[in-house]
Amino acid sequence: MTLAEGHLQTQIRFAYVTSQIGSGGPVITLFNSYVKFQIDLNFSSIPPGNAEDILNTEGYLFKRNSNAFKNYARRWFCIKDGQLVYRKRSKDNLTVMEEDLRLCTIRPQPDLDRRFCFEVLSPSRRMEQLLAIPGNSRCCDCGVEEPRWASINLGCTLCIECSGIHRSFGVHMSKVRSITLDTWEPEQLKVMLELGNAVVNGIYEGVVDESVAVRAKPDSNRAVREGWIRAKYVDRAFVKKLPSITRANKLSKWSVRKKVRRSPARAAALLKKSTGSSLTKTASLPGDLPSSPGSGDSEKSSPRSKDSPGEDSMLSRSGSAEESLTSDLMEGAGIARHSVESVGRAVMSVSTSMGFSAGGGETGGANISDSGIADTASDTSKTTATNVAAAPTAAEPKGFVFGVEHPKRLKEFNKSLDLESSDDSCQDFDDAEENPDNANASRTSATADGSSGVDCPEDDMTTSWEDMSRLDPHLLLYKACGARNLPVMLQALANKADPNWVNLEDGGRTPIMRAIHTGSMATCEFLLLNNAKSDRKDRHGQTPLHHATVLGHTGQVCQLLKRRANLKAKDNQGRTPLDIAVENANADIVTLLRLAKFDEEMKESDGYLGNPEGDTFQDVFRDFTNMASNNPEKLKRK
Amino acid sequence: MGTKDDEYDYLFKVVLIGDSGVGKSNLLSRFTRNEFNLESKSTIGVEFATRSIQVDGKTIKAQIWDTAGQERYRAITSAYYRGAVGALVVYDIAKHLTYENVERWLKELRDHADPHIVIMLVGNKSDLRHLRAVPTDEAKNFAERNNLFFIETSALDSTNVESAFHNILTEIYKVVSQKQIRDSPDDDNSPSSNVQTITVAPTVNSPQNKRPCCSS
Repeated sequence: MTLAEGHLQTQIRFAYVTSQIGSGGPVITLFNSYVKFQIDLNFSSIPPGNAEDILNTEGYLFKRNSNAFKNYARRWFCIKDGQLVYRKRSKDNLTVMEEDLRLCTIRPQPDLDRRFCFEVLSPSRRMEQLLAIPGNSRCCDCGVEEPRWASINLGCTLCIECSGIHRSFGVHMSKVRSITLDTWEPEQLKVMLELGNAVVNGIYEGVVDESVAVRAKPDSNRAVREGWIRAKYVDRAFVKKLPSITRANKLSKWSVRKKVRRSPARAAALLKKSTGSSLTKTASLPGDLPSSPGSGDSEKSSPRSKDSPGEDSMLSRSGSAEESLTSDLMEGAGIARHSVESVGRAVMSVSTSMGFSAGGGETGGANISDSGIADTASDTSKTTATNVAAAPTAAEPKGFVFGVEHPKRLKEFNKSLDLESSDDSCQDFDDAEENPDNANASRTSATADGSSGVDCPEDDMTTSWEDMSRLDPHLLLYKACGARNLPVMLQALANKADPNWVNLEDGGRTPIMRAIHTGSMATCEFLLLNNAKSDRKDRHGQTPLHHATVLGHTGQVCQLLKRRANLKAKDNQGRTPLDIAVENANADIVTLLRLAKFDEEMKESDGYLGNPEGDTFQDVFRDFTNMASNNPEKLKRK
Repeated sequence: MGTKDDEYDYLFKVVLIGDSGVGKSNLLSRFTRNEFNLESKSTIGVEFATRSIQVDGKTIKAQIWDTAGQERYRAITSAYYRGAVGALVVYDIAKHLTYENVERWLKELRDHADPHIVIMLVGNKSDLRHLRAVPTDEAKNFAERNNLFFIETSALDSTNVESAFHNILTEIYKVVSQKQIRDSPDDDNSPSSNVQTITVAPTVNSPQNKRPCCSS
């Protein structure tokens, strides 16, 4: 075999590899020397031997240290059994740098200070996670398989052609990232995991009218794609309108189903249990639904009767792993098993009870706790469970609950919706027959609690109930923020909710302030991605950064600072966020705020750019965000 | 607040660590602003300051992270050490416990900082002669055994504060300008016991700072 042939083979091998695998993670730059190895930009090794040698070869490379000095060190590298390994000196043990080179992406680095540099990008679980979300295995717009791009503010995956059209409409409409090549903030991944193509199309293709635009298909040309994407996202021609007040629902109220926030422990359990079906949610919607003429294809359940026999079949369809997990989480409350498959659409449910269809809301697969604050997470779930349990005893008004989903039944919902006959439907809150203990527990706690009137506390499974006359996209967005329910937020935004709407009835707060109070980084990030401003002030003169600081939400402080939130803003008492953090002796937030301020000052002085140490700010912020995303308990105040 | 420097050749991040109350913040304020505050409050989180000095004809900007000595103020430690190329491990010569805890701080550096980080052991409050609890020789020997640079300072009367920072920045400069650190753990990057005799690049006083001379 000639050198050239060996070279070719290796290249093909890596070409194959890169087309498959996502990337991310540590970036290691290598630099070649000329011992045995002949390295080219594609990391093809060309040993003078047979094909075996290509897969099993060794030589010196210069590896750029990841340390503060960023210098190069010569290491003896080997490719053994598909692993990239190296040792410092001959007697040292081998260090495995890449577990499986076939999973890595190799990228040339022509801009470094040395020649022939390339980097090896380790695969991440990102692609796997993203594509496992319902609908995400096909482009959100044309349906072609294996999309490799994503719109991070819409929460969908795209093929390269459709992503190009998204880009052409500007970042205010769609922020496109490569799933494989771009670096992603952990909170952006969380946003994606909360949404997905099924959710997005449930909203943006709610009422498709092909006379407006022809649906894009995998083989459509650019003009068709463009027309479709324009109609879908720019004109929002297929977005289903929010229900308006009718005679039928005049007395109804509406609310938003809350998403349950998971603690890291629960997230880990979920990951373990739900491998393979990571995004399946348990379902608890009633089986037979009445229909409501004229309500489009909005999904409405009308759960009420606790003992409806129709429930069992529904319950039995719930995924067992998730179910048991959820019941663990919910501390034995009856609702525990009834989480809702959030795979489908952000839709509405009509309920004469509390809207227990709203229960659950576990985002499976995302093994990430969304909270920057661990200590409140478990409390929240307990509260939730208790309040939920209390609900069956309370007489609730008829109401819409946003954010109740059941994709398997979407078609049925679309066909048949009937608000007025909703009383006949079964209700999803019921596993008394299945699990008497849980039911008893729930009743007990219900008695003890005795709460939950029309104005449920906001820690409940739903947000507080509002009159139908107050149903507008802005308030819906605001409530959805409080419920941490991204699908409903997207639905509100699709209905032209203003992300910077000021809620005069809630201290002049904007949706992002509401999101900050929930502690949810994904909610916060989703708003920021959708053009929420980080510098608005509420009635007390406090910015979102003030709020996050007051609450001690380190992760969100990080998020806001990454977007260069104003550090100098003073509230009505003349305090900057830093003043508040010092007052509260919150070391991490003090550090972050001072670091951001320091970074600004450094940037103002000349000679800052291009300095390799300049990325300390980014590095530290990344440390904090990763920690807030993955190990929030470590950020807990002592 | 750091002084604004227009141009520099190198930017080095240096961390100040050590027990609470040993005088880290005052060392920093003495070096960067020529200030000393007997009543200073304990630091929360981190404070930052910068100052540029000249070494070998190059302008070196020191970005100094003054960390909180108290554990309860330090939730994420790794962030503090990220990118740091130098560390001043400070103890109080009048409080033996703060010297004993140096081991702990060194361990923290080993755990979180770059292995090539340049470390200087600093015995502060050398003005408190009558209260001395840590003999200079003892600390010096300890520093030698652990391959640390060593100096005694007084932020109060300014003794050796300039030298401490100049010395560590010079050493960092040596390492960085070498470009390539040799891999071998037993090679000669390790500092020797030459602590007090390092000469500092002269004649580079920037006019706007009235710095005290390095006198000892």
